[in-house]
Amino acid sequence: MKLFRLFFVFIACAFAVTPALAEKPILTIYTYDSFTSDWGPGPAIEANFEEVCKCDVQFIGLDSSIGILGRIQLEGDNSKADIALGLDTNLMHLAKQTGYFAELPTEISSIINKNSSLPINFEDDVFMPFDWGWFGFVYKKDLISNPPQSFSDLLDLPDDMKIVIQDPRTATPGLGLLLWIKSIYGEEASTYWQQLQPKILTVTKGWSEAYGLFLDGEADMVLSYTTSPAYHLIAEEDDNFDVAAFADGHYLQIEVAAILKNAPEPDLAIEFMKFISTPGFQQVIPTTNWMYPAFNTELPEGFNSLFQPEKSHLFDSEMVAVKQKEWINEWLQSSTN
Amino acid sequence: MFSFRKSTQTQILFEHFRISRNLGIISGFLLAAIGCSILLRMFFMAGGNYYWVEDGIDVIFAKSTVLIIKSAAWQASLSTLISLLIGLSCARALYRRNNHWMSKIVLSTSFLALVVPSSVAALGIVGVWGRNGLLGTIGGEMTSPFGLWMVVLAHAFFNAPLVLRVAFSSLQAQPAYFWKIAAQRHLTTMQIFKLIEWSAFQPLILPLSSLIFLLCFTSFSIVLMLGGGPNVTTLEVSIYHAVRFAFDLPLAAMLSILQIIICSGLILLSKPFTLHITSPTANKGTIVCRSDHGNIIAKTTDYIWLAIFFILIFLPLIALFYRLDLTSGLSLFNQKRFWDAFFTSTNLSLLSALISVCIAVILIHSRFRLVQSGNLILTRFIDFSVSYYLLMPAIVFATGCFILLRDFISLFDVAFWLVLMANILFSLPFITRILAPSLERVLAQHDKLSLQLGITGIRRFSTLTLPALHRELQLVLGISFAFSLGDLSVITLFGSQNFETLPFYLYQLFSRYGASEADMLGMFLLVYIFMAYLFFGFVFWCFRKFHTLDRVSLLNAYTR
Repeated sequence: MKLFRLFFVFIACAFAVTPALAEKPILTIYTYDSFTSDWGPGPAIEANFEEVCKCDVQFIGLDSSIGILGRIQLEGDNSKADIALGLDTNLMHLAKQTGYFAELPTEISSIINKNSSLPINFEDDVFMPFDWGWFGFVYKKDLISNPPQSFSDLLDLPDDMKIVIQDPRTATPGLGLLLWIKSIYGEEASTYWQQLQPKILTVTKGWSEAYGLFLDGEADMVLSYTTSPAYHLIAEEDDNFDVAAFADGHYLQIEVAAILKNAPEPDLAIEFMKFISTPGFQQVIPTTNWMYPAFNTELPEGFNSLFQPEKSHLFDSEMVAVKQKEWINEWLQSSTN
Repeated sequence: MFSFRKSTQTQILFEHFRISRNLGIISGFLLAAIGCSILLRMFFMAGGNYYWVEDGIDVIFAKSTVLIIKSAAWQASLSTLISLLIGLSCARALYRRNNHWMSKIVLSTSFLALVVPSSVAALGIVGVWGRNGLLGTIGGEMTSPFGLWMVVLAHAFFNAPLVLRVAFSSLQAQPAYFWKIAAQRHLTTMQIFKLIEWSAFQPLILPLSSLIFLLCFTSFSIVLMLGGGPNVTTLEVSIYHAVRFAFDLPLAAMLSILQIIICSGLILLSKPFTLHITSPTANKGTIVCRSDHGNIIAKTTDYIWLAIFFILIFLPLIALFYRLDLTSGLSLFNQKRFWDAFFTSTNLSLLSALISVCIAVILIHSRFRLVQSGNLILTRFIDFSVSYYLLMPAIVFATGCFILLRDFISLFDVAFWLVLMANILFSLPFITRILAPSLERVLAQHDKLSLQLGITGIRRFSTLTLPALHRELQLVLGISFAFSLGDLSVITLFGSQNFETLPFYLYQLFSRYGASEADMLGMFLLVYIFMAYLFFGFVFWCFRKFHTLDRVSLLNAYTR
């Protein structure tokens, strides 16, 4: 009977891992993976908010930004999440249509109106902006001396130059690029995508994979943000990185957070939403998430030298909600040839 | 001592093994019920949201679906062709070289390639062919570490060894006098190929190619890791996208059904599972005398093929060691995420290995008894309930679970159990196939003895069956442990930073690219699988030592 005894020992081992019991209320926040990484804003924001709220903040890093919405839809009414953090304006309407998000109290809307430092007028009854930036292609100055100045220049790059982008089905930057190109090329967008194909090294699921490939030298340019060079400048004291300034204009991204309708801790969630507009959150953003803060905060040195596009593109989120499927299919078809 | 007449023998058998029969029937029924309810729910899901026939057909013939199928079919055909070409040529070369040690080494490596987790293999393949890979640094740089060719290479890594093993044992099965006659008649290489080798390969080609085509057509983790965007895709990856990101469950259901239809059609047409995958033994080095053995052209082509095999199969494994950067790689072991994933994976794999082997033993017992009592319908039913999971892809299963259960429970709370269930169900077809022949043989051998001595039930199993089967059990436990430890399918739907298995964590690290932790983790997984296999061997060794004593005293007691 030794084997059976052994078997029970195995089973006992299997159950031995028991979750630690927490007495404090837990605020669960779904976000994308780079937000919660050690070098991301997650740890500092968690510490700052826990000081104020006497609660336990748990960031759950999902594999990509659109994955947050997918996960919430999959979990349905049973979701454990209080807050979804990391969607952007493009997805706002789509997210609202799912019916899983709660309206913000009016006091928060007034905070947004009064204090926001967004480049556009932002009004929404569900979503709270927390940072913003422009998409752009980042390159290394020593490798590309003559960066492309428009999307058509991108096509003229030498054949061995490769760019890496994100999948519009899974990551907000990927969706941003899709809309950016759509906004410039309109009906011609699918032709442009077809022409761009030979330049694309790969399409990754999330931003961090793409940026990793770029840093590793596998790709020469990466779809990221105009603020990305600030990271290399400030954190690494390396001014070799820059963003290609496109004369066609850059697409704007405003990242947002929202409370879930079935949030287990709705009051805490509202507290956190208010906290987003305070320095405890906003001051962390520029040097960890490497984006512009959404509320008045002083920018660190190095941000001033960044390229600021003169022309911005942004689609209405209702328009995106209507067209997203069609445009993604168009993209799929022009990339599968 | 007594012996019973034929008719009473059947009756006694029928009386005796009621429990073992029924247990198997019940578990077979459970398996079938789980599988069928998932499939039915999918049908209704698809039917409920679309106006079933018209819109369903619309989805199937939509341009995007056609593109997916085209891409998957092209990739699978290429992979099949290359695997077959390399596998058959290498089997031929290896057999012609007739070198004991060489065949021993190649055959054992080819076995290794069959158990390497796909995520680890992907790592090794990028290690060879990537920009900074082994061949990349020497100068054989590929343009991209992602895309069609990487996927095809990875599929060849898994399937060429399979072809090699099957083809090699088929060559060995050719009667020795064939070779003698060929030598006497001074047949040329071409003639030998046409007359002997081709006739050995020919019956293999259809089942092998359809099996490989099927595996590559439904490939998930390799395509996810190495595919690099929408250009290279399979139905499984699209289903994953539809569920995980677009939340288009009806679309996922339609695609799943489409995949099941295509796969079952292929299986029915070509019957790939009739193939007998025996383990070939190394050449003895003396038996075969071939007229073209010393031929210089034959020699060169043989060595070229073996070199290709080496590059394709050996090198990715070597690349893992070569690229290992200990200083930064070791930081893996300081990460809490790693240890969490380690414990989750260990629990998962141990439980799944034990449970699936138990179920397999129950099913085989029951099937054996059913055959004895001549109940064909139930025998077929048990066969069906297991083989069903060969047909249903894991990601479809997970999707079905989602659709079926999401209204009742929070799936992410029970993610562990779902992944466990999937691992058990999907390793069952393989381990029953491996275990069945020897277990049935042992059962038949022991039947009379155990009935005479009255050793039955669990006692019989632990004193007679288990010690006789320790080697096979070690193998299946090892295989199903490796299977669950390396599985990256269902977990992609349920995984997050809070619930990770080792391969899922590896996938995350791999996506970051260039993380030396990824190489470390890949190595760790390989070593871990190997250690687990040794551990199971050790457990059985102890067990056997204990029970041989027991068995001797038992036999003494009864025969006195």
